[in-house]
Amino acid sequence: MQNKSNAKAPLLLFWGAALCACIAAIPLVYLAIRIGGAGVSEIVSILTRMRTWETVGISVGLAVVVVTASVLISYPTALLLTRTQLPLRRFWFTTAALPLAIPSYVAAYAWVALIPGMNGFWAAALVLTAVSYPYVLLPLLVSLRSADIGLEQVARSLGEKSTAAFFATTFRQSIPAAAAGSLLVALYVLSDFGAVALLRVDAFTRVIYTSYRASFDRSNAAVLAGMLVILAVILISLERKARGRSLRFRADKGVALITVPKPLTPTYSVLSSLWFIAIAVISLGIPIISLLVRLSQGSRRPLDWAELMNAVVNTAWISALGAVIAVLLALPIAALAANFRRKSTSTIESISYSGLALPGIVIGLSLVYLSMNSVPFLYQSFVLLAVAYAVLFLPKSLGASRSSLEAVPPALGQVAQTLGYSPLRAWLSTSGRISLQGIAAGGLLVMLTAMKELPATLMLRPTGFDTLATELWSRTELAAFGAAAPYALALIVLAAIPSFALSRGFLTSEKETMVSA
Amino acid sequence: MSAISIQGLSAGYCDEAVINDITFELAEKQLLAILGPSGSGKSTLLKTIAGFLTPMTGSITLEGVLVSSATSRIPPEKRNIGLVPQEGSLFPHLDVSANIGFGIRRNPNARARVDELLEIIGMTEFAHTRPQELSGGQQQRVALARALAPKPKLILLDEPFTALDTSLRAQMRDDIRSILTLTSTTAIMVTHDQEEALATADQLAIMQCGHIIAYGVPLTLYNNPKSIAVAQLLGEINVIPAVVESDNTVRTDFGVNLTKNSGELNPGESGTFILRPEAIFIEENQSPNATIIDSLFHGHDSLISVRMDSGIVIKLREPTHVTRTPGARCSVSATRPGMFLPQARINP
Repeated sequence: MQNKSNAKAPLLLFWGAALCACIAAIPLVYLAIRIGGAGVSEIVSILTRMRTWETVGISVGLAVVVVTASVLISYPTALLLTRTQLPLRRFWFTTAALPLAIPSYVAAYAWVALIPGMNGFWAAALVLTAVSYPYVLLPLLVSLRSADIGLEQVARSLGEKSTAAFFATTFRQSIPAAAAGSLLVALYVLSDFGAVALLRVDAFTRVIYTSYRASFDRSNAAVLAGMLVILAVILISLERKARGRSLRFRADKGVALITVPKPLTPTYSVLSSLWFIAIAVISLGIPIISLLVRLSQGSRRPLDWAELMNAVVNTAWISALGAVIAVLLALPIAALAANFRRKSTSTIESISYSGLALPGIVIGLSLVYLSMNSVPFLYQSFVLLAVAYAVLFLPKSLGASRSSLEAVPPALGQVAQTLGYSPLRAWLSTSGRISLQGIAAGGLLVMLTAMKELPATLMLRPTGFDTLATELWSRTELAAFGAAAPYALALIVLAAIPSFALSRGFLTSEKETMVSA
Repeated sequence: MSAISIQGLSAGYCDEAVINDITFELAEKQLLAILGPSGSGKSTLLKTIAGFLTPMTGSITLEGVLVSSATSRIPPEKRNIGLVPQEGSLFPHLDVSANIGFGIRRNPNARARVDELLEIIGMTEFAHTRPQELSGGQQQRVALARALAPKPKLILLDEPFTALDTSLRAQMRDDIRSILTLTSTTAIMVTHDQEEALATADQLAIMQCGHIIAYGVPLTLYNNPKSIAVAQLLGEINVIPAVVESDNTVRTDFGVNLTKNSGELNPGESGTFILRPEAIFIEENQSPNATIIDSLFHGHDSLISVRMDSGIVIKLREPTHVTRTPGARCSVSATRPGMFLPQARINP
């Protein structure tokens, strides 16, 4: 029986998924309403301001520079890791994802604490590249590792030199992965608030936040937020196009030939090791050392342990709540998308991905307006903050749930049904049970990201509710660098727990591939 | 009482019927093979019988109980019909015992039943093995045992051997055949492999474009096909234009031939004569009437093409004991009768 059916989805599942998608779309819809309320002349006057277009230039320029740098770092790094017997290869593999655990504002704060007065466009480009390049590196590693080098061998047997053969085959196969990673980096840069704010770069997010705080100019914030969303949508559609054009082809049957790493000459070993050490120093070493130095110097005010622990606990539970909501919203949509291919289902799925195009600051802004005007009892409540996390990071949970559900053959659920299980129980004991790990990984990813979230948290948190991110933020705003250090470290340590769990999953899957190869 | 009875059944997706007007009955403890090319609607029929699709018209009755009609449908989990899908359908998170016991968890004698089935499929020592560690054939035997565990009224097998190596298939066919006999189970198997269908089935249904175009005992369908399509789906044939000469012979470019369907013939009627390659022989020591044009070696036999002096090309099968060289002259004649189909029946 075919993998995807044209059959109609069960009504309950369909409408459940549609409802979840609608929840995900609320911020976008409300933002549109708010912009519409600003009036045409107001919008025109904002759009014709010189400053608005300066902001666009800065944000786009920053995204271009960071994406270019990330791609230039990632290709050689990924090739060395997948194709050579680099010294300490496994160690570098394990640490590849680590920079993602450092929030942009922690990295920015660490650099500023080390080099006081560091600020501006290029400083932000450096910091953002250091924390976001793994978004390109990781998919590239997966792609290059699983690339079927059979094609490359065919190209060589047809007379191409090894580099030419690589560029003609494996490189082209890896473009979708690099494009997907670049999209993530670009979206990261566009939506980043902490680093640009600390390094005083007038990118979209900083201008929006300033306008929002200066409460007389809220239309400006809404219109700029709308422009930011449009930019993100343009990026996403560009990536879709790139992916569509270079669809990866592999004949269905047969075993892919997996690369066997080649030994390096001593000179190249040293050079490549230096390359890895340099990247590690910039992305991990400097932030951590700077934090430790600040920590050892202490601050004028002694550390309030109760306050720190309070922030740790708050961060953990609010992000966990957000993750649970995200998984609950994602499950019906993922189950629908994984098993029923119809136009209506893919519309539902696309709407749910709107979080991708909504930077935290936009969701924060939109939910603030919404709660103040329509549901005042939710204004500055835990629920609203957790929902903001869930909507913001729904795509992460959805992607993970969907791909793991898709891997389960639908025949399993059908067999369970013929063995006397009701449709729901059949789903729970087959697809649900088998993809539990993938679904949980998605939730963990949401939690990890939510812990580090800054702008939406700043705008939506209940009064007096402090998380590690907000505590760190308020101390750096006062230039109390010493007092901020413990919070930065606590955040890195706390975020390292889900990161570690996730990267263990990544490594075990690598082992399995190696065994089967 | 028949185990399953299907009357005028149509079903499909999005208001578009994939199968049309399916009608047949199957007696208890029989194995029905549904043979047809891909896209003929076999899997849709199976899904409808299992209860995953509601019919548009018609009905399905299981041991006298109506389970599917356009207005009512007993859900799959309440039908007691077992399902063995194509491949890799074992629950990957459960070991062999747990897979077999999946449908009988509430049964107090589940353990004993699982042990009994492990014995029947000859895999007692694999009770605690994970599916990933089993061979394809072992996996399919476990899938069969899992479907048999709740003692279903009917078992549905959806291309159960497709994923197996050719060398394993014949063995698996025999195994599954004998397990079904041993457990007195009624079964419907879907396949696109004619050899598999002929070798396994008690009853054979041939499907094409959503219709059942022939139904009956395999041997009868093979020897006395009622249409060219049926004859072709069951094996190689020679299709020769013919005119009826007497009540049991036809005249063709291959000479005057005996037919099996004497009594149905009207002298002078034109139509088609169908002759299987194995009904034709090359005779030594006769005056030659044909030239060898090709010989395809198949191991146990060879398929030889000859051009008759009358101009038509005939295919014949003979045991591999002589080498036939293209260009050689030989004498060819039919040693067994064929089927004559009047013009009207050529296209069903």
